[in-house]
This record gives sequence, structure tokens and C-alpha cells, in this order.
Amino acid sequence: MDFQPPGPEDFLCDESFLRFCGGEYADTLFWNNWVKENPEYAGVVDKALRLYDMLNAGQGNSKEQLAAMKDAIGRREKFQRMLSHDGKAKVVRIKRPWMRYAAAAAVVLLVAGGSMTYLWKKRAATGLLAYEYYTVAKSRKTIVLPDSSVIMLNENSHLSISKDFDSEHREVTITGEAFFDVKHDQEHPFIVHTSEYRIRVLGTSFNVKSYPGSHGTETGLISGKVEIVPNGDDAKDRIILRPNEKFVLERERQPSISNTHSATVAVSKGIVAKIKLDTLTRHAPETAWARRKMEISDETFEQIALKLQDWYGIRVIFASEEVKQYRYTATFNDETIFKALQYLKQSYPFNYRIEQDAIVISRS
Amino acid sequence: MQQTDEPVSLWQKIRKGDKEALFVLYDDMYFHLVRYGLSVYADSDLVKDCIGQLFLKIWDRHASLNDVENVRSYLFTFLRRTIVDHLNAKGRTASVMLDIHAEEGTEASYEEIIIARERDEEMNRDLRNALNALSPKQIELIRMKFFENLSYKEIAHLNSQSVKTSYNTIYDAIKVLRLKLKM
Repeated sequence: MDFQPPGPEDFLCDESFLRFCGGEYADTLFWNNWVKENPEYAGVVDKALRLYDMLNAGQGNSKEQLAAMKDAIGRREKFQRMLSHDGKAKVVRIKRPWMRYAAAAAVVLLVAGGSMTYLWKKRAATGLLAYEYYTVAKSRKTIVLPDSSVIMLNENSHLSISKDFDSEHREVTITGEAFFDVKHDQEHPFIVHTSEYRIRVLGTSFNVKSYPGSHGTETGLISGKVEIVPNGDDAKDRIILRPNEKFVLERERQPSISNTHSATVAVSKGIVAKIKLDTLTRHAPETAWARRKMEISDETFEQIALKLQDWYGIRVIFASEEVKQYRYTATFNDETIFKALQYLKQSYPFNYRIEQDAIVISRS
Repeated sequence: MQQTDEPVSLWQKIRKGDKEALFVLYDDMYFHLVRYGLSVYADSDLVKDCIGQLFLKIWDRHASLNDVENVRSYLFTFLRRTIVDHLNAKGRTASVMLDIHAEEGTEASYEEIIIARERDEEMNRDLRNALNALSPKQIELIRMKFFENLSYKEIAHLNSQSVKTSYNTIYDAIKVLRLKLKM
């Protein structure tokens, strides 16, 4: 047997490796790990990445670029609405939103360590080092983090996952609204940054609403325990939330008398309030957007998957043709996608595995 | 039947404030614009940045846009101007522009683009030699795979060949390339 060690061409002909080059999260996790475990191939992988950049002409991913543009337009319009509300609409310059994506791609390579120096160095200058997720109007997205915490983003929202997110460093930043189901880990708190404060979590589910230009920021706790820490912090100002309590921070706009610009200054006032549960379902209305009633009557799993995909904004992939044909009848009342899958599993078993932006279903 | 998706009718819709039409036009034109932009100035980050700005500008002034007969060449011209403005603002004069195609509105070929992106003289020469060592068919398949991001299945279908043949052709071509590039 003559064993040929793999060259750059072996990597470049692999579809998963190409998705990694294109910045897909699941494949990135895989290849980062792979390089860690096979450091002897770091040099070859580096060459493959260099060749990829050359042959792709650094075009990037049109879908991501489009999402970034939608986001930029959305933010611009919101900003303009805010301004025209104050009666002084002006052209607003959005600061290079395009670079975000270049930066997001850089992270991919940064995590892998010193080996993939080429692309990383090239893009490091853009500074922002995080994974970015955007949703536009009438869309939502479910993201599963490497520690298996789940975040569901509501419409017009933006989630940024810090570059070194792993089971020990758990930090994300949210603009807009999201529902969090955080994996319990006493040792490593999960931190959610908002424009006004950060939320320290030990394992719990809660809803955060923090749209720019809205009247305030709201954090509703469903179960577990979270701590609200004001930005620019002061330990004594911390607030601890108990289940079915919410923290509401109101921004009041007061005209400033200082000068001709007649700018407004934001005055914030925080209160802790009880969440009023629905008397019938015992669900918090704050999370109603993340839940949905769904009737399924003798439909194939493939058809059901399309509905789930559509509503929850997460890709559903079948690893088995057979499972696609399973038939189910069920009624879901306001379930999250994972509860829904659990119920289906009980009546006709299958396995599912969660990746960053996809659920992979296979035979049990 | 496809009439509604023509750039001209998309343009009309954008003028009336249809944001979805703007996104469709962006999606349809993105790669053409990247390629054209790269033939004006071979810096992909800058080109992508300018395409974004271009569409934001279009949206900002959608209500006052003129009727355009040839949307594609309008966008090309607009992009070219955005790139030039960008370079001037950065203090780089337009003289550093590569301008592979003097003629406005034509996209450079794939080979021209990837060669122009290699600023390092030695690398640039090696890449020219490497591309010369490949058959037109091999270059075509590499372009489909890496530049158009097509799957092996799609490439096989377009070339009426088996997936295995497409794969092998691309594999061999990359091997030749990287050996010529001393990688």
C-alpha cells in the first residue's frame, strides 16, 4: 500500500471543507476541531485556504451580504422613523455594515489557532470578531450554541456571539428580541449583553426585548435565576430576578435645554414586575411569539419538517430517507421546537442532533 | 411569464418603494457586480463594500430615481463611480485602478480577475504559468466550483458528464495549480 498524505487538493475537493471556507458554522466547528486534533496538517490546510481565497476571488457569500444589506436598510429606516418622529429627518450614515461579514469570516479562522494565518491576517484589520446573526421583518431564527443552549431570535433582531464562545466562555450580545434557553452550568455563567445592562445567567429560560428606538428594555424570566448588571457596572446595583418576574427598564426622552441642537437625553428607570401568566396555558405572554399552535393530521415527517423549518427558522435535515416517510398526527399548543420534537419522538422514535443552524434527524 | 422578474420591472417597483424588489435585484445582480467591480479594481473587500453602499444609495433615493432602460449597465456605471469615489476618499488616486477592461460595462474573465488580485509579482507570474498549464475545460470547471460555488452535481449536469468525472477533473486541475504555485 502506498499511502499518499493529503494535499491541499484533497481538502479543496471536499464539500464540507468548502462550506467551512464559505463560513458555515457547523462545518467551521468541525474543521477547527479537526485541525486541533491533527496539527500536522495545519500547514496543508493553510495552503488550501490560501488557494480557496485565490480561486474564489474573495467574493464571499451573497446570501450573507444580502442579509447584511437588509439589516442595514432596516436599521436605517428605523433610525429615520425615530428622527422624523422628532420632526427632524436627516440622512443617516450607517458605518460600513459590510465589514461585519468580513469580520465574521475571520473568526472562523482565528479560532483555529496560529496555523491559518493568511486569511486571518488579511481580515483582522476589520476588527469586529464575532459571529453575527440577523433576522429581517416577519422572520425568525433558531440558533443552537456549542454549549447546546438555544436562542430563538424574533424579527428585526441581531445576535452577536463572541469569537471565543465555548462551554467555558459564554457571552452573546442581543439587539431586538430573543428567547433564551440556557444550558445549566454553575461554574460558567452565560452572559447576555444589551445596550443598557447585561444579564448573568446560570441556566434558565428567559426572554429579552431590547429594540433600539423603542421605549425600553425588558427581561422576563420563565425559570431559573438571572442577575441584571447595569453596564458600567456597580455590584450594588445588581438586581436578581425570580421566575415569572420581569425587569423593565424604561427610557424616557426628555428634551435637553443645553443648546440649539435640541437633543434628547435618555433617562432610564428600572422596575421589577410580575409576569401575568395566561390563566389557561400557564404560559408567559412575553414568550408567545416563540410558541405556536400547530395541527398535524396524518402528515409525513417531511411535510411536518417544512412547517417547523418555516416557523422556527432553523433548517431541518434528514439523514435518513426512511424517517422522512414516518407519519404523525398531533396538536401542538404553543410549544418550542424542541418540545415539539420530543412529543413526535415519543409516538414514533427517531434521533435528532442539533447543529448551529440545523436539526439533523436520523433513525433511532 | 418571467416578465415580472426582468431588471426593468424590478427597477419600476423599486421606484414605487418596493423593498422586496430591491432585494431581488441585489440577489440577481450580486455576482455580476462583484465580477465587474473586480475588473475595475481587484480588491474584493472594497468591491463588496461599494456594492452595499450602492444599493443603500439606490434605496435612499428610490422615490427620485429616473426611469432606466438598461438597469445592468446603469448599475455597472454607478458601481464604477462608487469605487472611484471610494479610492479618492481613501487617498488612493484612480490611477492605481487596474481597469482590465477600458470599455465600460464588460466583466473581465475569471482568469483576468484572479490574476489581477495577486499583487505579489512572483505569485502573479506563477499563477499565469499555472493557468497556462491547464486546459480551458479545467479552468471552466474550477471557475464553476470555486467562483460560482456550484455543487459537483450541478457541474456534472451542466457539462453532461458524471459527477465522478467532474470531481476528478477539478481534483487534477487543483493539483497542477498548486504544484505550479509551489504550494
